[in-house]
Amino acid sequence: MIQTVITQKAKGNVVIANSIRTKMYLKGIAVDKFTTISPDDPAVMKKVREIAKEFGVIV
Amino acid sequence: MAIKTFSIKGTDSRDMARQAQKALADFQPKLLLFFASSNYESPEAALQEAFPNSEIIGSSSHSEYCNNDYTSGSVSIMAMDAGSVEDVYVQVVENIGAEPDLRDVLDGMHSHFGGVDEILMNFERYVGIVLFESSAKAEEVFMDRLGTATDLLFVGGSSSAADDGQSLVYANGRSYTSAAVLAVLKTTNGYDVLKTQSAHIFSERKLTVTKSDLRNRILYEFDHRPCGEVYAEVLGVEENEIQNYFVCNPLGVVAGDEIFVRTFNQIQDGGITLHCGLPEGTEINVLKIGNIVDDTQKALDEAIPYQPAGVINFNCLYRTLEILNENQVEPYCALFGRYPSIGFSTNGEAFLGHINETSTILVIK
Repeated sequence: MIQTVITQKAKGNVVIANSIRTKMYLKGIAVDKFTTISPDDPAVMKKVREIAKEFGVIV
Repeated sequence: MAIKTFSIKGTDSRDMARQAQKALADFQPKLLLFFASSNYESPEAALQEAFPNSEIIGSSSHSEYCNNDYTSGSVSIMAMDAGSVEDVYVQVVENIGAEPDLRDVLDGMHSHFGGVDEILMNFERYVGIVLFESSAKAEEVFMDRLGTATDLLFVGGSSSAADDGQSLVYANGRSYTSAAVLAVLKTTNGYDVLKTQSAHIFSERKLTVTKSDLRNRILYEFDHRPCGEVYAEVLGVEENEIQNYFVCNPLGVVAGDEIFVRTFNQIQDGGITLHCGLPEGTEINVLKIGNIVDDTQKALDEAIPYQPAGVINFNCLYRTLEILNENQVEPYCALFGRYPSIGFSTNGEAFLGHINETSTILVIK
């Protein structure tokens, strides 16, 4: 879900992708801590959905 | 010449502006950026009168940098003509403590340059400068909102003041408190942004912020335990000694290879106040401060392998005081003397977020 937000928001621009990753860290999402096999954490998922909505991204 | 940088000590703001006019004879600045010691009264009005056809932005300062020099009681000026800045658009957001919605402001800025698509297609040419008046203490929320409203990269810092002087930001002939000045530059030859913080990871142990007050910049708990207790544990010291380590061992959000420093203020109301709020859920490391001159040289040499048109250095006031304390002013300034450059001692730095104890640097190619 995190990677979807970054990919959709960056639209292929590497500089923007990196800045979105950093912005998510600063919003309290430790991006690299989560992988596709990480167990779902409802609190983190809720926060990522809120960030996606702010960014205008559908997840 | 695309950029001129110079430092002026005037008898007053009018004298300073007259000297600036003389220094810029036969030069038509598109944008004039200045950092004025808070000793000067209304420098923005004097400069606007002297340069009626230029966009003018600036900040009050505790102390200034210009090329090889560190000064106080001066005005550092960078003048950029069409050789370096093709176009610039300035907006002021007032009352930033009220958490204004920035979408309309940024929509207007995007539109001025032909819309978001134009900016994305020429992303390497567009960059923003943000100057905060620091008394609102709302920079972290503002930068978060700014980063949501635009993909443009904004770099800058928060105003400071000398002694009893007033902290202000300036735009187009007016001064502001509790405001942010935003300027989007369409550069002629591109830009680079870098930040250097001379802070390194002290402990690999990750601490999660589980209780905090973001807006009031108070930290209460790491991993559901009192933050002071956990901080002392990481340092291996007694909890009643932790204040002695606040300056040398700040906190950092580590995002990949980048560190975003958060410095301590004081123990208060069962928590610790910071100079930048931390949202709950954030993972941090305890840091240790390194050598500012060595780390700055490394960062500059890696990021600027060319002769830039100009360099703008937003250098934390803590770092300035540390450089002064360590008698390192000359070697530090010599690093920036290699380029046409200006800077000032900031009360907070900005790049993607609000940062402490850092230098954020905009390089105009």
